[in-house]
Amino acid sequence: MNTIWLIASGTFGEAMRRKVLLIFLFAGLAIILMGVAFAGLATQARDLTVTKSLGLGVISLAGVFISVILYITLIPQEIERRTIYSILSKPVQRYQFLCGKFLGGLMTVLLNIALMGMVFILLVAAKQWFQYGLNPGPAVLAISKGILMIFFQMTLLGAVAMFFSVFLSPFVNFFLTFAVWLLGNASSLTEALADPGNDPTHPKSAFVVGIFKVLHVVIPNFANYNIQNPIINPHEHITNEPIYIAWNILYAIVYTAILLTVGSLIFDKREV
Amino acid sequence: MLSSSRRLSLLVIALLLFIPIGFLQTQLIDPFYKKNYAPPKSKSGPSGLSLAGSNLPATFALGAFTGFREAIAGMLWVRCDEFFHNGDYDAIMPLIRIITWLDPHQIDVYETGAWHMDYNFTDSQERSDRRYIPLSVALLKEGIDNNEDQPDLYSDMAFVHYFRKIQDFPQSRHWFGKGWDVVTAKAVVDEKSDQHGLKDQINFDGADKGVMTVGHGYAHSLEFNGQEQEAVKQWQACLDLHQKLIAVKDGKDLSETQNLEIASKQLRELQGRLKYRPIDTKVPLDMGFRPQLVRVAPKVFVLQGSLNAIGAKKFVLETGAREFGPVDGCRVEIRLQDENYKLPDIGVYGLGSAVDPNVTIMQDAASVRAGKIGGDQGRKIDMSQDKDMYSFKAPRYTVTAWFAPNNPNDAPIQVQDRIGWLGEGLDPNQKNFVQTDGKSLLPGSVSPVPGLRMLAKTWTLSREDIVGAGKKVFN
Amino acid sequence: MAQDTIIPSPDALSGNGMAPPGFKDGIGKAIEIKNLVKQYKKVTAVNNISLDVYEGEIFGFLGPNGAGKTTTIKTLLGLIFPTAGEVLVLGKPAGDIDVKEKLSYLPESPYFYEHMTASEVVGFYGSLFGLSGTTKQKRVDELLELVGLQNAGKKSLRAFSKGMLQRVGIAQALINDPKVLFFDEPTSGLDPVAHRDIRDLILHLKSEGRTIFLSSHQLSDVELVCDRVSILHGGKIRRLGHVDELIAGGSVEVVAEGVKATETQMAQLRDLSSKSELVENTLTITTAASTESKNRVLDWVRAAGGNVLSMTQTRRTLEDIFYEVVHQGELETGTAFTVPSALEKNSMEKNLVEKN
Repeated sequence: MNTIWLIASGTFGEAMRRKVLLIFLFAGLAIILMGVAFAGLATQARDLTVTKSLGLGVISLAGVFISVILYITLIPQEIERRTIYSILSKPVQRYQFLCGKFLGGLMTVLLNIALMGMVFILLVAAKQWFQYGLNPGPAVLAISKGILMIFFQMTLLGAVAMFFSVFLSPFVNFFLTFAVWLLGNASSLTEALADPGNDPTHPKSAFVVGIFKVLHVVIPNFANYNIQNPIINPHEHITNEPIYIAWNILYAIVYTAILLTVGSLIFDKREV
Repeated sequence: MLSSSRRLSLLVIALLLFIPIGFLQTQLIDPFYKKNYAPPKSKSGPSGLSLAGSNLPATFALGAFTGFREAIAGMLWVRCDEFFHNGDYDAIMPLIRIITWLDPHQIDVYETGAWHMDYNFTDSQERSDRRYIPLSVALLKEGIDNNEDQPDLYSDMAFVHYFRKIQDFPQSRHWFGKGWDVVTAKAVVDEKSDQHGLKDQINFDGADKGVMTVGHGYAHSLEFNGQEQEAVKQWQACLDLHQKLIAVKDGKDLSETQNLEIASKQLRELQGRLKYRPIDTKVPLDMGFRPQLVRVAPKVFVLQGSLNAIGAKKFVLETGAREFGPVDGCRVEIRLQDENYKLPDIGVYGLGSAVDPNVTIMQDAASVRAGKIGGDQGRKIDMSQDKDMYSFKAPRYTVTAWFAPNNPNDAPIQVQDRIGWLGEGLDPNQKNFVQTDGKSLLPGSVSPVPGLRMLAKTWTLSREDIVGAGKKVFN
Repeated sequence: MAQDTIIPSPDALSGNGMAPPGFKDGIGKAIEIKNLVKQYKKVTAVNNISLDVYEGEIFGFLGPNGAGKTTTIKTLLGLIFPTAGEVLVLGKPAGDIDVKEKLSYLPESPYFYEHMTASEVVGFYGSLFGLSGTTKQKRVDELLELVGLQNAGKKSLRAFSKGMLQRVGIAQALINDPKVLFFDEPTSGLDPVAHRDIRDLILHLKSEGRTIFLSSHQLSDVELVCDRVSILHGGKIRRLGHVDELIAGGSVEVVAEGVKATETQMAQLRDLSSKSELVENTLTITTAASTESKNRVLDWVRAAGGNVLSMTQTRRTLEDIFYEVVHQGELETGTAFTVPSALEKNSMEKNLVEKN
């Protein structure tokens, strides 16, 4: 564990200095600031709606770019710069290297999302309090939930990208990871296709339904993590939301464990 | 490198982990997500936006934008506002469809969108285009479907639309009633949340506001349907809830106390009227309703004639001291529509939903001053300026002028004091008297109010009568 | 010239006779390579090589680019896996986690996390060996002093020159007090001072009794510091032996002018000489120091109508042997090299020129 942690902290320090990630971070922060300052909207409710949705959307999208670009290059860059040779020639197991890299990347993603999230929360709270005289507490709590879910979505997305990076070039990986992300966001589609339906005039083939059932489970589901609608519309109340969030965190952790295990098995046989 | 047996066992463990993944996904997460977060399934019928009729959820088309659904909706809504100010109404319709599809919980889009449709698309004399009414009703129904626990949408539907615009009082009562069920259900939840110390939540849940907007409105709507005793009970229910809310809020919210005062005042007045109106409506009243329709130019009419209103010029509820005499403030409604027109039910508000350009409906109202409908000049109705809105494609038209005692806009409260909630004080032998007998005056457009007595005059005009030149008087 | 060089057979290479004095058979082998083959899709990078390196010796691993040097080192470190054959380091399979405790690797032009200081980088690698606290810091400081970076320890690596980075690389490679060191081109691209310092450092490490597997283009360095060398070309070991044995014999340089050779004669010359160079009217021919070789070259010059200006006997250098190997490779395959493309040939020539 110590070895994993060492590699993670080295990765984190290196990753936080990557300009391309900083670009997304600052672009994200700039859009959030602009969105919050966007005052040309007609009513209070709508102003807050656009602000919150834009903010969460930007954090989510910037998070996607940051984690995809980071994770597709973490391993290939180590190989390209040959740092991997000096590390793997030390008493470091390959799975330790992979997990350390993943953890270091995750710390980077967490810091980026947390930075954007904190700025966003502060701005929304200030807007609610000073501009509209509303108690910012519930909105801050709700947005924090949304940001937490974005982080775990990025954990899972990062694990997908890292898994592919073990055997694919960054270029191919970039598009593949994005494709998986989009597919995972359309999970209601695979779910609908996996539904045998109850229309006796149009029976679905059991084989096709079975395939989609497997696909629905195997494709990492990112849509689960989009819970912004009730956050943006505070009159919507969801019962047992914390349990739902806990399920999704568990989902992200278990799925990440699968990807890292299989990734380690492949990486163990990979020539670097 | 790991040994091959170790590799195999790790691979098996990894694959076995898909079992909990599948369980989490299909048994726990999917149902919860579908219930609470997913965009609504497209309900569109043939006229609406259907993805090849597959009834697929909106996410399918919008996967790429999931994170921005609400922001896009909000921005489109701002754009709608611009279109409205430019008078580009047709552009607004599909946008509203897309917005509520992207963000089904943005209730002010339903509210404002339906309000625009009902009131703000007007002709050059500021008469609203009533062909939009089926659309606004469909939009609000969808809003209520997607936000069943939001009292605001029910009161909008009941008051802003069915009561004020459509003047369909039974429908208004129906929607207030449904809204009241939501408010009372929430009030129970609120008491529970109070036990858990979650008092703040009550404000956000809107139950408190609902007692006022829905509860009070429901009581009024019962009155407008001639159900005074039910109205009394409703006011009492409102009083109960106001008192509960005041207790929960620890007197921190002054508006709640004001609401309580309003409700108790309304109840006192209603109870006073229940005492005196049966007496004051005993003597039949002839209001001398003689509407006259004059064509002054092609498609330009003047509504004139007489209506002599008697009302309470003075009324002290506490003592019962009251004095009747001629009063102003009555209103006569007039409506011109294609013969046999019925308000269509479009069912679902779709992307292609639009008004029927071949239908002509005009509705206006003339206030009565000194017994004269529309005052000395009469009420001029110019339909010649707006060819799109008044296309006059039909061969024959029904024109109706009426005075409905149960409509507080037609018969202000002091007039009702003389003629009663449903026109009980009207002389049935007077000219233009109508005993509705469970039939609506505008069949297919508004629901009938049982027992309603009213004054009305109907003309059937040919197209030539409307577009012809020169002055023509219809008595 | 055949008699002047040793062309080893695989059997001969692992033989007792090749061991430096004082080593006993089977004892003290730091590295054993047995019939190693590494096949990539179309290219055989390493073609059945066998090699032993004994504890305490500095072994020079030479060859032009693409000869299979780095491939062999990576195999020894467990970074890549053999297609066939076996590699043992300290008696255990390459990549074994226990062995990794006792070896270290300095890659060619190493890159380290730039956000760290020299002290942090060396400490980072130390932590990978489980070092911590003051033990680690003491060791880091010692090593930075050893490589001459005692004053730059707190500087971020971003400000480091190539030579300084190489010193950091050596410091990190020594953090675990390794028994076996793999150095890949440790002096390439360095300024003369850094170059000499690092060469001295390697000799210092040798004096401490460590085994060093040194891959290099810097033939003069190798000649100076290595006990034994092997020359790899086209994935095969072409020469292997003690440096002294390999360079024994020397060569002769014949300088002539006015040579007007035909195409056929030029072809003959390529057979006769290990190197020939025409500058304006003057032709310099290098050949083996044997009488037969000398006579054949002199005959050839006369036949081509030239006058001999001088004839000098020189001590052979590793460079000469290197050229012989490359030349022999050309003859064998009919092309420049087995593996490299024209581009790599150029870079190899560049490396050879760089030496001067």
